[in-house]
Amino acid sequence: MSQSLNSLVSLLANAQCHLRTSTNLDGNYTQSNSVLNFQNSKDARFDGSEAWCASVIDTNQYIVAGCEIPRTFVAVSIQGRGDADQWVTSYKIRYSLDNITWSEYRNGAAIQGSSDRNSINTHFFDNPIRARSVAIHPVTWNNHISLRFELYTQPSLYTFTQIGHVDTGANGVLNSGTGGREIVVPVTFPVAFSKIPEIAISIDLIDSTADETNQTRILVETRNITTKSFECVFKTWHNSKIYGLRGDWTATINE
Amino acid sequence: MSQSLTGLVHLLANAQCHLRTSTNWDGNHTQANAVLNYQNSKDARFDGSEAWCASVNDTNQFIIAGCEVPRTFVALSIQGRGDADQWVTSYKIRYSLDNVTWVDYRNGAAIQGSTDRNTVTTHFFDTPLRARSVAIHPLTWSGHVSLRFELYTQPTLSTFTQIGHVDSGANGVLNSGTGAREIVVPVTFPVTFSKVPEIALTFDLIDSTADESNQVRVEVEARNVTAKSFECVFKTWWHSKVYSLRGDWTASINE
Repeated sequence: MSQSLNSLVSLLANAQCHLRTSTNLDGNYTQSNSVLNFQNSKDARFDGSEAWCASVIDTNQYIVAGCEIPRTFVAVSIQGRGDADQWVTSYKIRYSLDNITWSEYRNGAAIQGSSDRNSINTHFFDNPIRARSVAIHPVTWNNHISLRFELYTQPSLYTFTQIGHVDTGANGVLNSGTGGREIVVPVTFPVAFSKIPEIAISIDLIDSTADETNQTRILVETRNITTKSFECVFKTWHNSKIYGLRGDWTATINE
Repeated sequence: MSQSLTGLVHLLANAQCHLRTSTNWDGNHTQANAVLNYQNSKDARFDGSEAWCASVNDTNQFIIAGCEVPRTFVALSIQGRGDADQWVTSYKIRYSLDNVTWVDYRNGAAIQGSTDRNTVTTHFFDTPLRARSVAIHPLTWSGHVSLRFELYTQPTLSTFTQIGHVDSGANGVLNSGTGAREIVVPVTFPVTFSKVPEIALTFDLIDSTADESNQVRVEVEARNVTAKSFECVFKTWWHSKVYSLRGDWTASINE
């Protein structure tokens, strides 16, 4: 089954996660150099490894990528060290959503890794993993524990919500006369949104008189919504009357 | 036009972003030393550059600041290397909100950078940039591709929301008698908020009997709202009767 990385977020390339390693060979072999396809100078001066390289060569080594926002991890790509014959031939994955309990992907079974310096091996998780932190644990390696990698996630949306309250007041124009009548309550958001929000209006007080045919007619709607404000419009119509209406508004964006 | 950095968040100084570089001169010249005004020891021992220094001096170098939460970027400050005559004389900016599509600020036009080691040059974006990741791409330099910098954003609010359900029950005190009557339903939030929330209430079931003047009177309000709980109060008054009310509450904070 062929799967695609299209439209996924490359976490390391976009600086969307923090990286922590078990050990580094020294300050020139750190997680700073671990992003997929990392290359530095090709001249004789040594400016660091083209990979993260561990200091200790055993099965206790790992690199953890941590996000503060939960992500849906779809795939991981792994690659060898670009400037030396070192690569991780198999690895396991552990992950955590709440950063208290960690789980073993595939019960800790080894996943096939790299077999040369530069080929990219991409593993699509059996089911996308919902997590904040994901760890790669090298299990077997060629010459040294060294790798470059990338993690691919679904885009993560950030929600921003504000709540407020609106009131028609008592015994206004909705409480007399007939035909279409409305009361407009302008609302300014405490904080301007970065894009136009969706708004849910809820009614929490109804004081209304049904008309001679026993019909209750109540409407509340939003009008002229911008990032800074909107109008909350309370309405009745035909022969119905309304003494008072009160409500709450909930405005939300996702980006 | 004079603009101000007052009230803005300094991302690097506050450790509010992750930094990724194209290359580093070596492990002593990394993004760890890139924050504006970074200085280290003044004695003879070399403890790293007072700047991020690239390994390769070409126009393929960059430093990316990534935030998981979208930010409104207002300005950027740039500075030279503190312990050597190296600075970036012009640069361009690229940015991404969704970390899938990247955009060229001012269509990739060069922005004036530094002309010495320590003077801070601040650029206010033409219009604030809404982004998660922002990259500085040096275009011209003196001595070496080396810089210190800072990014300034509007404060970012995080929303935490919980939703639940309340029910007055059937045929209670609201359904007989006259005058003001209420049913109090105590609600404990599943998770305690870190501050007192705003609450939106809504009816999703109304079973009510209009009185002899055809008036329906129903109200639900939040009382005694704390970070842990509130009282949901269902009310009617005068001669109206209410067989049953059911509703939902949405509680939200921004911090």
